[in-house]
Amino acid sequence: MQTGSRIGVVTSIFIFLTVMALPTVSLNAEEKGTAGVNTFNRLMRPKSERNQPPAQDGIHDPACEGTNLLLPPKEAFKSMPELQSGNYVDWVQALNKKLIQPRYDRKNPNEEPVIFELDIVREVKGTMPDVVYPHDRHTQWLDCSNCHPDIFIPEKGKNVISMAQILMGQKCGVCHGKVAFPVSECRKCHSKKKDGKDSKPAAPAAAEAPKKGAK
Amino acid sequence: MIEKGVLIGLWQKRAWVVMMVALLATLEVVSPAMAEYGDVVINNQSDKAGMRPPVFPHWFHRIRFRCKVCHADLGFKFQAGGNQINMLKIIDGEFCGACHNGEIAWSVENCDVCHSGKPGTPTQVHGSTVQKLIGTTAPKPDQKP
Amino acid sequence: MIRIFAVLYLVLVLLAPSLVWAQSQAIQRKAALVDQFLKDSDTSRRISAKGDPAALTLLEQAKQAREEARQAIAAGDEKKGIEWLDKALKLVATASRNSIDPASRVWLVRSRFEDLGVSVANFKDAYARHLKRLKPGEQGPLDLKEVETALKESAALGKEKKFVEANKILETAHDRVVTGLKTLLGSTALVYELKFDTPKDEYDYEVRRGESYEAMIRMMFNEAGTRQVDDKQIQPLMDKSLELNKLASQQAAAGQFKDAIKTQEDANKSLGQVLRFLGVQIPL
Repeated sequence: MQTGSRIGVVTSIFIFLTVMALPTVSLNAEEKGTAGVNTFNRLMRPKSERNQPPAQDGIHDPACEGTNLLLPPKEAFKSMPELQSGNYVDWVQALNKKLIQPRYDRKNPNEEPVIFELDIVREVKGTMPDVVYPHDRHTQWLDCSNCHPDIFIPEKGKNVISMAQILMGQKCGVCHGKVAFPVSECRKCHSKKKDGKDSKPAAPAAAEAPKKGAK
Repeated sequence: MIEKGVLIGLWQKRAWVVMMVALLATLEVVSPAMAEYGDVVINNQSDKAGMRPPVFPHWFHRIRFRCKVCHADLGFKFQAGGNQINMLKIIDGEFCGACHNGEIAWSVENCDVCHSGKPGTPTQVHGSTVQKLIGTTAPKPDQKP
Repeated sequence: MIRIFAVLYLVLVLLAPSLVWAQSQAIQRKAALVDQFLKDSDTSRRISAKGDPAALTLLEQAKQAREEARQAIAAGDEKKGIEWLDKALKLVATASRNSIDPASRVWLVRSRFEDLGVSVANFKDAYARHLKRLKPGEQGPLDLKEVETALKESAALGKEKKFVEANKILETAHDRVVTGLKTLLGSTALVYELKFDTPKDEYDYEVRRGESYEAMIRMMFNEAGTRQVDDKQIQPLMDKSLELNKLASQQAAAGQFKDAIKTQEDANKSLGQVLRFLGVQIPL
């Protein structure tokens, strides 16, 4: 390469990098919602982009002293069981294996949660497996009043839930898709295969007598 | 460094090193970074007050407390920006101040550890599905939650 | 030449322009917070008025620390200034913590009272509904009359604004009802079957589903701004779903519910396809 053209290349690279290096407070693609088809798909996020340390995560200000005092998530997540979405940590497993011991009471570390072991099976139309909602995993973390009756009325037939509502942040979407794992993994909820015919209850003895109205 | 049979001088070598380092350093600016899932940015008053908006990390607190403690016992609503929090209430021991008082957790004088968001970031639950599909739609600060 | 560029570039990158929040701004904000508490907050007024000696001492110490900070900052020693301000904040927080006014916590206790009241009533009704799974003559684990009494008592206390006492009664009732439900239901699974009483119910169900899809599409278009998807792909699908919606409602009005359900399902499928174009994986 001639010296002259080399200087030209170098200059243009410098100008490009300088422009790039001027950080701006910009609304990135996420905030505009134009992230496109593939952002929702968890598979499009490579492992290197997961659990970024605060200074590089896009919302913390790297110029702030406090940002550099914060613990990078990856350090805390090192020993935790993995999940394929959300924080990429299976929090329920982590709790059951006692890898974390979060308090149930603000001051008392020994208080035990009141666990309610009731599964609600919601039949769905079509070929998707039925949804199994496990109370036990949720009551390990939450209080009854967090969901009942503001988000879910504890009565059959009173809760109309569609995938669109969940994705828009209602019903299950109040937490799932915001702070709990997102609904990109269908089988985590749609876990009970229909046996043969559609809409056939698997355990008739446990089924509630049909009530008026649809879900 | 030898390029096409021509020996490149010392300064040119150094210039290459500088450029490579700079390129790597700026890559984080060029590619979109992803914040930790569940981080809540609250910017109801921060911009007006000239402070960076606080960023609340759910994951860090989840390791230490179950959802019930904040959302049932301390009165936090399930809504980013939907709680009427201000510094005086925190000093008084309400909301964040129930733990961030020097006893259960560190105290209120560590401004920058909470107020570490990029100025101008709108109130949001970062990385949420709603945000990705629809954009940042936060309730207006004076709107009743 | 390259040397000059390299130096210039390093200087630019190292300065890292953005919104640079200088040290002095941080001090100003902290000082403003301490001042706001000491001069302009209900808590400090209450502490001064009530005269609790321990809290007053802390308040005085905080005021002194604020003065020291002011002097240090005036003398140019920012580090010392911050140290004094931190001390002041710590003292202020301790003073406040040790003299909490229960009246300021009313909103929390009241909201817990309301939540619990509604919760207990709802769960009591749920328990009553599930009583039919008991064999005739069998007694359930919960005494419903006790729960009703508790609800009445707590409501009365709530009217007199005695929320703390009301909450105690409600918490006990809540524990009883939840334990009762646990014992009654065991660890069975409740199956909410998708059996519709009438075809009209199933049609309504499909209409509601279509409405929720429409709402989502509307939100994604209105609030997300320009989308990267071609309108040419979406518009025919939207038109098709509109047509099918009309047809379905006509069929429903004529009583042909089986056809109406099928038509509405097709309409929803079109909407589902639109959502897929927009990046949302909805099963069709």
